[in-house]
Amino acid sequence: MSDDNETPPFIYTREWLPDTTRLDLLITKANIEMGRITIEDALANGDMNEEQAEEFRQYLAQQNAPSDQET
Amino acid sequence: MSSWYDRFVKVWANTGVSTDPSDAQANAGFSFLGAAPPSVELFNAMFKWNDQKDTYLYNQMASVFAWGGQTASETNPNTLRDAIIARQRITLTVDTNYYVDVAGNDTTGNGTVGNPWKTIAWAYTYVLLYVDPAGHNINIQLKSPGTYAAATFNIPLLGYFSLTGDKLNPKLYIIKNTNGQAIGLGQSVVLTLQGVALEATGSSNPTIGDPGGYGLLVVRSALCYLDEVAMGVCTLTQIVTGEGGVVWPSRNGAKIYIYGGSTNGNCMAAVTAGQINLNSMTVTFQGNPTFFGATLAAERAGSLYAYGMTFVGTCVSVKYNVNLNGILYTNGNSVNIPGTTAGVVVSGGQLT
Repeated sequence: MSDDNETPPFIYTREWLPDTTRLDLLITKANIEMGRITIEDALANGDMNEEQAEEFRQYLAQQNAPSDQET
Repeated sequence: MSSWYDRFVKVWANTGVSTDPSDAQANAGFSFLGAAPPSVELFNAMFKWNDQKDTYLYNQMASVFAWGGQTASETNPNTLRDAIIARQRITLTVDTNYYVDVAGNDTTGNGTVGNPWKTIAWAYTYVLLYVDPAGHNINIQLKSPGTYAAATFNIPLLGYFSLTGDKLNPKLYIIKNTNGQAIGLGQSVVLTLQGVALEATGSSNPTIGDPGGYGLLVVRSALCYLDEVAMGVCTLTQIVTGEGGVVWPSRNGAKIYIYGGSTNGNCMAAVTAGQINLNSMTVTFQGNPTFFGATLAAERAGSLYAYGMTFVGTCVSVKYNVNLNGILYTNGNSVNIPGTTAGVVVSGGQLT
């Protein structure tokens, strides 16, 4: 058992909480899609790494490309 | 002028005279006629049969078109396919944002950033009906500042589920109800709520089945993780848990802002075996809000943990109300709870 003065060890056990790293990345992508920030901002803030940024650039390019039906 | 396409669901000789062949004649084909040509009436009947069969098949497809929200055209060969795709559950392969906007549309929107839905409730319904999270995160993202309609979540998803406004400007993304709770969670739903403000001006004395003016209502084994959430004016308690409902910080150092009071309730209350855990959080009172009840309330076996956390600012209220076997755990720091009137511990309540 933990001491009363300490944070009980189960509280911040990663497995029991939402994966905040994944969630933060998802919110970062939303903020980029909505135009609140740029990919460069996210990179500068450390909210994305280069690999994630490149992957998301490709996703955005795919989203902006005309669909088969439109062509 | 009619075309072949226009002739779907129309029948040849609909207003003409036709004579149906017998089964034996139809099975034998034109051989039963011998050298004599078939009659007009017989030809009519044969074409009529074909059109009736086409009509039957076309109507089968038309019902799928409508079911899938598609409109058929003469030149689009993909209508049936698109209709089926539109109704299939999507199995996510990546964490996914769905967008809701004050200017969105639940009917014509598709949940993308360029074509968002209007209500949180529809976004949640859509996800329930059409999306298999397959363990991935789903975030319902509020796109623009404004006031959004309230939502209640009561069916769990198979993946982490969040609702986000803007963590840098939570008070610009208001979720408001004038006849019930702003956000309600029940029946084992798990939601991460962040970057939003909640306001609720519903009934001050709800009975079972009636809506009450709670800001955040978490009951019946539901779990709400919070961060950067602002609580505005509510008729009843701003954050309340009951019947095994739990409110926890979504991360170490999460923040709650209290910028409105409650005319008939508390600021936070854990009741009937509900739990509110404020460990590591900062709760900031802005504008000295007034509460009819207590800043922190724990009653009927509810437990409220306010230790290892920080209060900032002031409010007008009873500091705490611990009764009917409720537990308020501050680790000896109850003096730090904001309020203007001394706290109360009665009827088996425990304060440490």
